[in-house]
Amino acid sequence: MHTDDPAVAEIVTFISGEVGVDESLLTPDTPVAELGISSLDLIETIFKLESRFGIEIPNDGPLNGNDVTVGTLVGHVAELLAAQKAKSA
Amino acid sequence: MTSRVAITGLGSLSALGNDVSAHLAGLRAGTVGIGETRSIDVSSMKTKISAEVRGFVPEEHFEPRQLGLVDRTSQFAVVAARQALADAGPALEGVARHRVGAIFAASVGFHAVDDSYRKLYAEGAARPHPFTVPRAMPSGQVSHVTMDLGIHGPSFSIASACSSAAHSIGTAFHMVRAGMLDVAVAGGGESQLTYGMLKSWEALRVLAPEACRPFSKDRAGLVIGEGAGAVVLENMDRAIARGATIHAELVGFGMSADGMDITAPDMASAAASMRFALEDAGLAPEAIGYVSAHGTATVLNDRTEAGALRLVFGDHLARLPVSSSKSQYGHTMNASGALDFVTTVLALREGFLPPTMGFREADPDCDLDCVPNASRPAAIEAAISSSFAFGGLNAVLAVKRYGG
Repeated sequence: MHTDDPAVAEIVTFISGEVGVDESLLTPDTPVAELGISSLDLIETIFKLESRFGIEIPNDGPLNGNDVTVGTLVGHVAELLAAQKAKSA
Repeated sequence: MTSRVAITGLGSLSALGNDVSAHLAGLRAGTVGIGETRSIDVSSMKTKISAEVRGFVPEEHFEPRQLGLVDRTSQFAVVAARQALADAGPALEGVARHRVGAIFAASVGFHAVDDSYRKLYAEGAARPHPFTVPRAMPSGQVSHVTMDLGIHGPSFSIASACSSAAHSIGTAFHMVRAGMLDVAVAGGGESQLTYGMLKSWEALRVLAPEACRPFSKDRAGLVIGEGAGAVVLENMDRAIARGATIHAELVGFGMSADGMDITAPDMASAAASMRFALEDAGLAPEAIGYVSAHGTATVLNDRTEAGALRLVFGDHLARLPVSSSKSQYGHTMNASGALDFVTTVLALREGFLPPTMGFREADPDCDLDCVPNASRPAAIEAAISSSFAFGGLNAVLAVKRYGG
């Protein structure tokens, strides 16, 4: 997933390391399921993202479903991070 | 030579009420026993609802000295087992000690674990309560049932997550049918309504925020319940000879393992367990008039279960009511196979279809007559009760109306 945003780059690198998928495969339109990330893997990844970035990802947000894409996942985390920064600024 | 197996006793505690008549009345009326959790502080939780057993006063059922040793889970199991045996009348009279058994779900005493660990970790207590181990051990409930009812034959507990009680009843059924036992008391109790377990379920992201809506397009997950179900199974000839009331005949038990995933269900394997139950019962799919579904109201379970039903029943599915009582008394986990079985027996005996409450919108992936939002009268001759547990352990029980 190409990006100039360092926050997004950090999220992508973290996910790549956690799920063991090369960063070059993490393109926005790819459903995470196609990367061999099961719904259970996704729940664990979300949990690790929460711990790593100190955010809370809601249960009823855009990641609640079985057709989440890499773009949705990364975008949602980036939004939550930005909101958190704005709050603490 | 195999024996026919009569169901001569029923017991239940659930969010619908604390005995079988309350359970039946709730099923008929479409009562939803789900509401804001009162027994624990849920202010820090996203999910505030559960299906609690309300108005249960342990001191009414146990001596003060006993209570410290019996976890809420085991209390439920013992009370349901007592009800079932009282309902069956003098079922144990004159039976050799080794020919009466008890088989119950293996359920951790989570209240004991939660209370003791809180004191130990959070409050810095020097030691946990000395009865933490006997209260927490998963075989506790079946041990207490045997002590309470005076059972001295084959007794043990079975762990298969949400199929535990169905596996327990099915195994007891096989033992009576095979002639090994004359009478068996079987079922399961469960209460995971503790702070630690509710937080753990919430972390797994499978809990519905405001209602349990099985098979509805807008379903959003399961609602945790608590309770217990128990049955007395008995050699049919013996039950007839002693003039017992026979609620229904247990005729088949089918099992399978997905061998695939620790949470996601598998359609072919779920279908296989239903087929095995029908084969074991000698029933054609067309003979089934009602299915008590596993129906947890997660997106994945209900879609997979509907697909599995289509594989087993084909065109007959269009005429086959399938409902999930979890919409009324929540998902009682290890107890659910027993509570759903009691529900199924009541439906057969009383001639009605328990509803799927909370249903709002048809889902093309769950194209079923789920008896939406109100019970209906129906003369059912045979039914199945399905349990498809986390980890792919499936157990399906087949029952027939007893005509005398």
